[in-house]
Amino acid sequence: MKRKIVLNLICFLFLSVVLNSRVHAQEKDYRAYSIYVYNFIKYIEWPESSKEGEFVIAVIGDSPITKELRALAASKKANGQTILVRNIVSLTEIGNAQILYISTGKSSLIKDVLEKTKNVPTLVIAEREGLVKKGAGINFLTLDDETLKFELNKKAIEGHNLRISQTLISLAFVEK
Amino acid sequence: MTITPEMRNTYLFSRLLLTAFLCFVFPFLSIAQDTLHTNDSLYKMETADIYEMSIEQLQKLKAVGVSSDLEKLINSLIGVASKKPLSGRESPSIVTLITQEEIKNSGARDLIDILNLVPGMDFGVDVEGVIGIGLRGNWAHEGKVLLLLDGQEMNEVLFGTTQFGNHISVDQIKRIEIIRGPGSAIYGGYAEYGVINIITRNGEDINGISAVATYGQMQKSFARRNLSLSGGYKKGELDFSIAGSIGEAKRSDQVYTDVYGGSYDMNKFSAINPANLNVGFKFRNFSTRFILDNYAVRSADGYDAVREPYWGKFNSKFCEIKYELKLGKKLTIIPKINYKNQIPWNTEGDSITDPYYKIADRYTGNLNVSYNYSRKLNITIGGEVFNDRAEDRVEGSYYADSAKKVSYLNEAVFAQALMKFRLINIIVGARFDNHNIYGSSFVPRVGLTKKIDKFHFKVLYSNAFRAPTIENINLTDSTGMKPERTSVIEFEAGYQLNRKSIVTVNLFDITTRGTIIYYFDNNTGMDAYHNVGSNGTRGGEFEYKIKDHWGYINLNYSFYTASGKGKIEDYEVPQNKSVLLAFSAHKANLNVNFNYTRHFTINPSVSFQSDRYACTSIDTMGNGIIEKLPAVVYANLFLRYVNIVKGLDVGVGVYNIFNERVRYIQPYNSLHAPLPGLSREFAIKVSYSFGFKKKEEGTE
Repeated sequence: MKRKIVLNLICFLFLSVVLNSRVHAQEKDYRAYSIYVYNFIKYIEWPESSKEGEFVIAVIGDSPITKELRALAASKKANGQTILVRNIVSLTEIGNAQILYISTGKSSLIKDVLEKTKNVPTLVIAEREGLVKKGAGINFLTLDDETLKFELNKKAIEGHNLRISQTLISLAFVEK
Repeated sequence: MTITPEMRNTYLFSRLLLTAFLCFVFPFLSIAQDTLHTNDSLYKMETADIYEMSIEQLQKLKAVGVSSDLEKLINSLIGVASKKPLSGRESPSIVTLITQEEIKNSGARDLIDILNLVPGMDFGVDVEGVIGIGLRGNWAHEGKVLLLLDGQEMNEVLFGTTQFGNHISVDQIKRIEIIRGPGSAIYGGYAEYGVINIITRNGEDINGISAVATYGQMQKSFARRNLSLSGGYKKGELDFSIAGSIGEAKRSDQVYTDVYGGSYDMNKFSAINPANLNVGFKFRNFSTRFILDNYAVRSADGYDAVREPYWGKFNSKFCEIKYELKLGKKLTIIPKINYKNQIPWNTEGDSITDPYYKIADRYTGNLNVSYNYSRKLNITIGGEVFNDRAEDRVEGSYYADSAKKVSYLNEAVFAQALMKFRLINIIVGARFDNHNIYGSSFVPRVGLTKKIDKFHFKVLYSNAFRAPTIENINLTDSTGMKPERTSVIEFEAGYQLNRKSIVTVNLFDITTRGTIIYYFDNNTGMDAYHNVGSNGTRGGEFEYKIKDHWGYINLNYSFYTASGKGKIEDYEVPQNKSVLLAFSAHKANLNVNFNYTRHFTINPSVSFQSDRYACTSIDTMGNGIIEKLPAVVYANLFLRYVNIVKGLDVGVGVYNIFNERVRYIQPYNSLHAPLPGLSREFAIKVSYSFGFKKKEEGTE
């Protein structure tokens, strides 16, 4: 009897798993991320040299954030500048981007990114938690209740000749 | 062809699994329903420009787009295992969360129905018709599982026991958080093996008046007649609730036969009658609660031999005053005062047994300080002092040294650090108790947990203790009484297979030393307690949950063995050293909810328990004979229709469909034969709510 029961259970579980396997895992809401990016633009001041021409957001790595940032670019301006979103595959393509967004899959490039953007007015935003410790200006994080928040490295941002408003600092977990 | 019980069980179990499977497949063939987007309410702003949302709205944005019903459940915060609430998957204990929705859908008649479906939980008979709890193969009735009702310790102070069966009204419960492992590092000496934290509905939840009436009918007689009334109100920062329940029920309609061959008809003498009042008041950071809990048990089984029927009464009062002082965003200080007054195991006595009438009080002061040093570090420290007092009201009966009254003092300090890193959470905590009679106990614990996308794990090591109770101290023999000490190692791994299902597996190893054991001292002719040897179990638990708009399926399996652990004669089974008395080594539960329509749900449940061992008779020397009882399958079906008219819900159910013999076995060999439980029962539950802002069912 025990053997039959165990077999029944195994069959039940196996079929259940197979039938359910078509469903994808819980996904990030990248629109929320893009809203935050827009607010970073609002509450951070770039030097005069960056206020001309297009406001470039470069996204390194293949990420759904690109689509959401393009939707942002289509409807909003960055303090009067037209927003241009570029998806790049190599750091050589950074150019004069005002924002460099490091998608989760490219987090390991942080060291190279910092080297490439040294002394350049580029805000480095990382998707993975903890990268502000390694020199990123901002990284996103998720609280226990799934609320989206961000960490901010004041020193790193100011090192890129950018000024942060107190409003933004008050919203952030600040890396000391 | 003769159909044996084994064949019948296999057939029935297979059919029920198939039914549940079909319930599961059906939703995939149906049209998927839209799920509410987590951030939808923020995106549907009147301004239409989502990028210009206010700072307040910005701070409410969620990182995830859509939470499935399952994700909402498994990611909901649980506070029972850590002073600071964490999601169930990161909580530093093996935890179970039972929601109001699950309780309502299951048609649970009492806590036994609910807890029987939890992995590792089981029930046995103590004495005098009282049913207690077992966990992971271990008898935990006397002060080893802490039962909290809205923060009040329900365990009676004299022996530490809790009494199950038509006791606490399940109709008033909002959620139950369970630690299926040790909790002493937080809760002290009643939480050696586990914690059951019951949270009832507050004023905001009730927001009006509601009534629930339940009637159950067994084969020979009514099973229960219960009434529950609740009222609640919230306005601004004031929240008030009052809930009461009263009822009468029977433990069984069968015949109890003791080990000597004597018997009595439980249909006549097995009443279990509760009366409970629970009042809560909260204004801003101040809150207070008062609970009155009376429970009367009619029985004739006594300690072993059948005797004249009598009442055993458990009357308790609980009171709490609490203030939550928030100093800035980081520091919270909570002073709390609790008082409980209890008269447990109160009997009048007869020509054979002495009366028992002792009043016990516990006065507790507790201070808890929580400091969020940063997002990644929370530190909690605190202290607790309680004074236990008891008075023997029986003429001619005394505590030790001919005293009518005793008074004990216990002081405790505790601390916990919760560190959250990207790859791991580390929880380190400890509690130190010092009792003026039996001395000190130090119980540290350490836990490593983390949820990484779909995967989560927990590695836990905990020390715990069972505090000797007033009667343990009073009835100690010449060897003296010390706290019973337990160490537990646990490992859990879970994987979210997809949006709708998750599988979790855990392993545990429990070792208890200096186990406090009751015995009858033939030399003095008195009851006595002493610390003896060691015991324990090891095993594993498996859970599989599917939850979606069509309903849910909860499947679990638990296993334990006593092999390789110390043996205590009272608990062991001579013919099978791998199991302990009363509790099945293998247990599997299936609990299904299927939303046939928005208003009508079908809820089958099945519980399988493997062979058990029980003392059923005595040999010529008067020693108990341990007998193997066959495996059993209990099946229930509950049909529920909500909002027949606005606010009116009706449910009908049949419990123990196959009329299996329910037998509560004594988990220690003290010559009490298995106590029969409920036979097949048909029940109807009618609830009516007035003045509610009624939520749509299924979104509770």
